Amino acid sequence: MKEKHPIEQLVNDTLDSLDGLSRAKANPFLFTRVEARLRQGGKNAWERVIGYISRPTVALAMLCMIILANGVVMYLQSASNDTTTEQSQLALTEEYSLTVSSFYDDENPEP
Amino acid sequence: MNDWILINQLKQGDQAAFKQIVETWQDMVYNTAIGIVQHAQDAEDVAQEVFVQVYQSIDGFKGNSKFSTWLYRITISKAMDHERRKKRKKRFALVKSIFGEDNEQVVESPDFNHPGVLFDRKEKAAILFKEMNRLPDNQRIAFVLNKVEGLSYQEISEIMETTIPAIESLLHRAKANLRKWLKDFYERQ
Repeated sequence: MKEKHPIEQLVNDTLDSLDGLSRAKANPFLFTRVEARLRQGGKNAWERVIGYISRPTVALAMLCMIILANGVVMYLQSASNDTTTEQSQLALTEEYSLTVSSFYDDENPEP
Repeated sequence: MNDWILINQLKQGDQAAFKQIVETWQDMVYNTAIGIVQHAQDAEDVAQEVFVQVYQSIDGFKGNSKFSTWLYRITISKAMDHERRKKRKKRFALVKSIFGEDNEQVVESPDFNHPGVLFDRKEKAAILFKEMNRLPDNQRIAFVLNKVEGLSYQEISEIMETTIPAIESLLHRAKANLRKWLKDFYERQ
């Protein structure tokens, strides 16, 4: 019949399960593989760049900067558009004499 | 051969010195890596990255700490980078599956069996390693260095560049967390 350990004992045994652990042995050809990697030159520049920008904090920071830059450009553009629109409206009005006509103009047309 | 002699020779580009350094320290690096990444092939990749880093940045080792301390720090850094990349891949795969691009199945890795665990403890050790994955990074690192590498609090404090009381606190919290999770695990059985 299987002896039923109390849970506390099981937990203690599990926590102690690494006692007497011996070191795992590395591959005996590790040095050869390291040499091969060094000959390949390790990570190339693109891999390093991609590795850096794919980090969540970096990607998020870049996204926020892009949104901010877009917001600033849009704000500046809309501010200059208002002025430009006003000026072009004024120019158009003057060119085609589209001013508001008064009763005086109706009664006294220009020859 | 004395470590300092080898290090100075490596700084001058001596390949034989580099080979000896690799052969002397490879088990330590591999064992530390496998304790964190819990996968033999991944641990080997990490070990290779560690020694590539050692070769490329040996000039940066000024001797302010022991060579082994420096090597442990590089190993932990590379192993934790590997873990973060793995988590990012899982998150990305999850997002892809949400959008219907489910061509790549995310397979949960099977329980990890450390090759150095005593035979009659393998099952419990596998359960412990699984719960260790849930620990916060610093607690996990301290626990691996203490339990898998068998390092003292003093040695761990030098590697993690903190005080001995801080290491005691990290290990105390790690054990408290593991105890709680293991209790939940066994109660669900």
